[in-house]
Amino acid sequence: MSKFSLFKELADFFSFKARRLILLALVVASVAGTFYWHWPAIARLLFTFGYVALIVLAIESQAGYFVDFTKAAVGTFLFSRRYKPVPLSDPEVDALARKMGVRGRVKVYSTDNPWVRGPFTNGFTSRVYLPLSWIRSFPKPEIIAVLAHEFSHVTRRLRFALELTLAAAFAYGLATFLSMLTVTLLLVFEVTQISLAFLLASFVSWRNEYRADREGARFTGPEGLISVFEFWKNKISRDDGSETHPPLSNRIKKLEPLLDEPKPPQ
Amino acid sequence: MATLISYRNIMWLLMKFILDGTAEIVTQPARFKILKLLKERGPTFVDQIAKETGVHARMVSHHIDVLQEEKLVESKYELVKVNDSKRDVAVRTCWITAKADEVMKDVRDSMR
Repeated sequence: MSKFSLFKELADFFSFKARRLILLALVVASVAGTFYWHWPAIARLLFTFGYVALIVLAIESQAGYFVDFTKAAVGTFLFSRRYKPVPLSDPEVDALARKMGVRGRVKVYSTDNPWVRGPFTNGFTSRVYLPLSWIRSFPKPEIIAVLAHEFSHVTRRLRFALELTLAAAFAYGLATFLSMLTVTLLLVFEVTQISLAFLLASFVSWRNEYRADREGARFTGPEGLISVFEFWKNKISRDDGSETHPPLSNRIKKLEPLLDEPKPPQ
Repeated sequence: MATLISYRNIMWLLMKFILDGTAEIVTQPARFKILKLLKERGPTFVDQIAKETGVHARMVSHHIDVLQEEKLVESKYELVKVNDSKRDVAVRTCWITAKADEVMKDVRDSMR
């Protein structure tokens, strides 16, 4: 077994819930750690050991996701010339984009880049990318439903950016507030800020995904998305969500009540 | 050499549904459940399928549309009496095609 696989397996060992709990524990410990200099020496020593251990655990538990994310992002960027994305032109897609209020020319691309494992939206360019494997294996109504979800990311991207900025500002604000109460260790200040920002960013991102699901289903009906989620839920070994996406079972559960509402006009 | 070619042909035949994406469509859990039910029960209408499989009737309709597009299922609207109703009710009756049988066999074989 290579060192890397051991590292990866250890990172995979933590479920999303466990990862979130570790970050929460870190924030709570940081608030307590603000008053570090007011404690007796023995308490300070014990806190230092415990706090450093918690930081190591947090880095280790988050590493798996960030390694995967970086690999996918770098792979997508590096191989973008070799696997040049091809514009996906379809009157149904254009009509959907117009209906959803996507401004300007719709920019949907299909790509056979092996690093692109799922559909994604580039928030800066408003381009939507779909892996060719998805187009081949999912029926058209389901691809349209997925695109409706992605178009919702395009139309709501400024709101998402604002929410992320607010989350980062709140984390920085809390760390600053704590440092104003007493003399705070720089380590505690940084850890409070980063761990709280991670927690809030994940909350904002989950909310953004639920909103995109709902918004997409409003235009195409929930059937397509539910079907795609059920397909992937059946394929993955653990459905506990990630830093950016909620668990598929939760997303299905949130879409199911929409099945009893009238079908959107086609 | 001849054995190798014929083995390749057999493998190609076995894998053709996996390669053309039909197998992926069938392996969606709800669709597989619906196909299995239609295979066992013969022609069945949407509400009956929904009741038997526990899949929402609107989802069943969606899956039937998809399967019909792939020529795995055929369907037609007809009038039937449901639950001792006095009037006939229009229902969408569905049944599987020979292609669906082949694909399901292919999927099962590839899983072994």
